[in-house]
Amino acid sequence: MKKSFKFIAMLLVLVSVAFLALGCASSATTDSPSAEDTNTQTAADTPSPQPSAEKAKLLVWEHTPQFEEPLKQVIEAFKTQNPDIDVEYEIKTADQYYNLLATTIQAGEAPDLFWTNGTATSNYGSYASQGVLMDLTDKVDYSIYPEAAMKLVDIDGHYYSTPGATADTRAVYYNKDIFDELGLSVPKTFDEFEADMQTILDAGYVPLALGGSFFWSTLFTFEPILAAMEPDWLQAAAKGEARVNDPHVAAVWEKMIEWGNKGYFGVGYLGVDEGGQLLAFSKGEAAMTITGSWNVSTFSSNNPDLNYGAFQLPTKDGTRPMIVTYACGFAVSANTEYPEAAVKFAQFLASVEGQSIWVKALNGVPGLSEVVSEDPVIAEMTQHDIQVESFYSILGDYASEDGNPGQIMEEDATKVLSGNLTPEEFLNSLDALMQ
Amino acid sequence: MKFFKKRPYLQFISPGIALYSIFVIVPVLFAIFLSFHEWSGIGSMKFVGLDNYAKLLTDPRTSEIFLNALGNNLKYTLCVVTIILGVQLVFAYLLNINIRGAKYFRLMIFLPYVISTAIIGFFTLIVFDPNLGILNNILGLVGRADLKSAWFGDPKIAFVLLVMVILWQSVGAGMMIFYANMKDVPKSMIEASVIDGAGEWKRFTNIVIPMLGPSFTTNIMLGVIWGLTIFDIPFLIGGPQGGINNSIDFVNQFFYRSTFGSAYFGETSLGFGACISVTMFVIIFSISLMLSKLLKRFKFND
Repeated sequence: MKKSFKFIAMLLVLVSVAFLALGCASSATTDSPSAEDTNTQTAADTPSPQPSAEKAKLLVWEHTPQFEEPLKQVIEAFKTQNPDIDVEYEIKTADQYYNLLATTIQAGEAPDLFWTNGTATSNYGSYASQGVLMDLTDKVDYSIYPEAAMKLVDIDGHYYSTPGATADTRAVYYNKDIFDELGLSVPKTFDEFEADMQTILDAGYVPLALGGSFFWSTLFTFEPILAAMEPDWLQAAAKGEARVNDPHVAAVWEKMIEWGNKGYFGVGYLGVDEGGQLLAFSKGEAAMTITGSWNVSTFSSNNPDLNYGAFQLPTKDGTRPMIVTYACGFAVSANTEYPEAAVKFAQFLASVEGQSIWVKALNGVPGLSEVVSEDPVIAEMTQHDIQVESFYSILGDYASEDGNPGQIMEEDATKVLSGNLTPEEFLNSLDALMQ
Repeated sequence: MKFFKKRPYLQFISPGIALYSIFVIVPVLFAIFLSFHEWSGIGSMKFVGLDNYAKLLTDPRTSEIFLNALGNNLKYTLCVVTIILGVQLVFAYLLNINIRGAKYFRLMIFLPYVISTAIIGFFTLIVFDPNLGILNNILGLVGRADLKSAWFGDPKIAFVLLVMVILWQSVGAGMMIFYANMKDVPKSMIEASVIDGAGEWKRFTNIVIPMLGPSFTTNIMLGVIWGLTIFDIPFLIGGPQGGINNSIDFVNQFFYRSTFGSAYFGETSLGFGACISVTMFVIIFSISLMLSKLLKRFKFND
């Protein structure tokens, strides 16, 4: 009895040591530090028989599954043109992305190319100043990009990332079937939009789905309403000629609170997050929702039968403002093992061909005149009269030296909707951190 | 070498001490060291002395959020030690006296404990989402649409809902500890009390509970430490910001978003995070010390 016990114990110890050894060995080759939510795919169609010692292997990190399809297609096209370079990609979840990236950079195992938000977030600048990013200024052809797109990648005249060719905007998506049922058409003025919401509420649908518990959903709904209610303030603020604690801006927040109380955002919208908001629209429970242009394909993939369109929210007199923010692309790690291959890939990403593939696969709004989108929803959405800045970009552009209004906005915006903070207090705290 | 030869036990424990030092002692010391610096995770560290602590405890914005989170932790710990412990005790006793269907109940109560917390977070979305969740839909169907609520979006009830979800999940574990301890109560004592005419309630309070010393100690200690360090479920439900109006914000979530940055923002501040963790270490250590002294006094420690 004792002897067989000893034997079994010995066996178990050996098995656990073997597992440990296996685990340590394989963690040297797999990249991701966190096991959940990562999606590793090889974009290779034909498995390479025997990778030669010179075959370059690139690893690309993307921050959200929404961009997996465009990245995959760009990689496919790149590999047909460059059969000697192997490219793999990994998709992370957006809320873990920067943690994982920082950890892997610190460990010295940064991916060869990785997405960043460019100058929109502060870590891009700190990565550049610490030599984490390769200087791409003379290595990639940036001549086709407008100045607005370059603003996102430019640090003191040096470019550390490929620009994005999608000009992201926000739009009011609407369910065509519900509109037809209620005899509504795309509103031509702001007042007509408000009246339409009341009609929809009375008919039993949610007029405007909003994920009130998630800051970014609130922001992407707030910005078009601000543009429709106070386009003059917005254009002055973009030039630095207006303060954010202006009563005009407070009035917009008051309007949103009023709509929330009337039930235009649905019952209990403060408990809904972004996923819930998009699903409510996809399922046809909400007649409209305001979100980014990058979500055009999300709705059709959630519900292929959904009959929907999109329009820009008009002002009182019928002018349609369109908020344009440029997306950012990929930065190259300064410590990549294959610098030439990485630069080649970056150049392909930044070329008209690469950007066309990306825009088409994402169903995004093209920011380059050379790139054209064929999607009818995009065509409808981009009909506008004036172009305006996003409120969040203005916060970033005119933030004071050590102020961080974006962070305050992220922490406090939902408190304004729930009534815990008055719009005046909120805007004053933002203004205190501006130049 | 003579030092070691004279004390052979040191040779025996040195591998253990080495491992413990590397994985526990050294990181704790490094965290204390880091709390006096400012560091974003890459690049150089900047020495800032007690600035981090000053910011944590005196800066009006940060200290308000920290104290709110700490208050939530203490409120929650109180709930664990009173409500959850009480429910576990009652359920264990009911199983012990073998009510009808005890075996079935034992399985069903313990089952939520084995579901991973990530799935529970998703489950709360399915049930409590105001538009798509089952709860609001059922309320609408049975004609009680007036009871429809934002659930976790309502700052007044979010905390209570959170405690209820955690109660549902964790009743199993503590209950099993109590149940196992109850098996040690000598049957002769119970039979004697029945002969003496003691009712169910008297039996429960005067005989069974006093004999549950060890399991009370275990459950209270575990409950307190767990209450002070909870992170997974509130994070999954409320996100790194801790729900609406920070209603389900706990210290660990505050630590997480200060150190690693919130959703897209990406501002990492490891020095400040180390400061939070050192402060919490001091708090948890003192509370545990007081608690073990208290439990000893009540002779719960056999």
